Amino acid sequence: MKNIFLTDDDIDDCSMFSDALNEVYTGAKLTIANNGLKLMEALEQNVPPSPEIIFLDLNMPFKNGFECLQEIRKSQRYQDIPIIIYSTTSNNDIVEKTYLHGANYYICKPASYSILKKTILHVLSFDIKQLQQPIRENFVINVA
Amino acid sequence: MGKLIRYRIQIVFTIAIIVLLSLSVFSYLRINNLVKASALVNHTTNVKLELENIFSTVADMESGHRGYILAKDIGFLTHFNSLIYSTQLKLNEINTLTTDNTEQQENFVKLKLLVNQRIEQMKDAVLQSRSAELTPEIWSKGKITMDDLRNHIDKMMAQEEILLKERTKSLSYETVLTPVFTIVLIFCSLGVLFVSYYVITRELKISNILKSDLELRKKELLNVNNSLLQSNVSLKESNVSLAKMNKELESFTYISSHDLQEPLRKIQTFVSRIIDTEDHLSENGRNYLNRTQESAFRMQNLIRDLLAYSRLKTEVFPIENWNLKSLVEEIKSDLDEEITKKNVIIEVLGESEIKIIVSQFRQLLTNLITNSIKFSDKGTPHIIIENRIVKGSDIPEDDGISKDNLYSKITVSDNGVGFDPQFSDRIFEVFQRLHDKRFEGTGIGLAIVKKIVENHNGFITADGKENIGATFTIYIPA
Repeated sequence: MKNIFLTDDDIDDCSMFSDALNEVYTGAKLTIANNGLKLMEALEQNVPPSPEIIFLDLNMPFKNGFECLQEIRKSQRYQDIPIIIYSTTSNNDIVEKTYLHGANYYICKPASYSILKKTILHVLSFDIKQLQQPIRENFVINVA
Repeated sequence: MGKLIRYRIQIVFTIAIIVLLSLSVFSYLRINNLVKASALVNHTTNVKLELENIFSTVADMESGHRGYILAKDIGFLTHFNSLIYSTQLKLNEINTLTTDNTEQQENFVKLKLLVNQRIEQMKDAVLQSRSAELTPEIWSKGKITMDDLRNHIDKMMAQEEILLKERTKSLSYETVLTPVFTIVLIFCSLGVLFVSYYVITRELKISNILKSDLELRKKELLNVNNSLLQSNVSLKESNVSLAKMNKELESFTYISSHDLQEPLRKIQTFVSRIIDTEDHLSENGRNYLNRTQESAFRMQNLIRDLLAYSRLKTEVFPIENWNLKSLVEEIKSDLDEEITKKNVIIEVLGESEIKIIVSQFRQLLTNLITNSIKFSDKGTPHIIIENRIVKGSDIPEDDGISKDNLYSKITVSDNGVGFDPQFSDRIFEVFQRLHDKRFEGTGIGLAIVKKIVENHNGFITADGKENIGATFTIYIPA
């Protein structure tokens, strides 16, 4: 039983992610928040137990992904939760910024459904308990 | 300039003052001499007059005492006595007048002696005449003394006469010379005045000319300054508008990077999902979906390349010393799949060392190599990359090239389809595609190449021959 959080304001992306997750892994519990504020609320209500992974979009209304990332890494209660950035942009500056702010991995939203499934499967294969921030070159997950 | 003029005028005035002062001193001395000479002449005349005077006084006394002796009239005696005092005054006078002349002083002593002697004799005669008749010896004695006196005075007079002559001569000399000298002085003063006037007017003229020249220059400078200020203002304005445009471009870049990519990616994902999961698609339907996917893929590349192009303008990276051969090796491994598929041969010749912005130059070479592979058509693609160090003066172009500096001349040549040489310039413009759709591409690759070369302060040329090959020549500072 995996406890996974997804934060994304795009409903299509959420449903696509949910479908892909269900196809590659049965028995995961997915909690979806549509913006940063909702994510922080959800964490407030559900932790503990801490989610095993948070997938975090960057460009969102009310509270964006950067703000969430910083807030979580500063909070004593949530700081150890692994965060994987899940964003459309592949802009190097932005990738760099999230790395410096302590995100664990970076996924550039793939343009193919099958690659999305592969990517999710790859992430689920990590040993979550020992998930550390990798060196910069391995920060962006690319399964294609 | 003004300093020099002041200096010259000072010199002229100093000379003028010296000349006038010396002339004045001379003139003063002259006049002084004249006055002295005239005083001396007067003096001699006075001495003579006094001598005459004293003789006539003594003669007067002579007749006085005779009168008394003969007539025994006390009136004569009173007159005689009053004249004794008068003779003493006159003697003093002569003494004073002759202090400047030693000879006449000596003569004076004798004169005094004679005068007093005669007076004593006359007194004695008067006294004697009261008691007895006067002897003839007394009379003759008196006459002798009187004659001596007469002779002595004549002698003194003669001497004064000589002096008078000398002094009159000197006086007339001074009298003639002084006016001459004064006239000379006047002319000299006038001369100095004229010279000064001439010099000052000349200097003033020159200074006026210089001044007006300076005014003119000042005006010109002011005009130039004004126009510069104006152009500065307009430059500032255009700078502001440029900055504004740059900002707009940046926001456009962001829009293309995010907002355009997102819907496109969704189209791609949904299409890929339909193709993967829907088994009941008709042949046509599957075909259309595949073509949709291809178009979306092309659009994705287009957006990516446009982004890369626009980012090249804004980002500044350091220039590093790098090895060309190892850089090409990296690119070869990146393009491994294509290179193996088409059996591409890539050779690197010449110098290894180059000074580049590494990430950008990697992009540049990648673009040129993929270009060469893409336009290889038939046969084995053969790409030769060569690097030579050349002098700025040996480069045919002179656009921003400094003749003394060294440049790396990097040529990338292939044996592909080439291009018509008339398109050599257009080839680097965005969306300029010289070939039909047979060769896929976004039309941005070479524009990126050119921009990167410009970021290195270099320039690039393209030479091509249709169906023989293309050569790109890059010059960047070594």
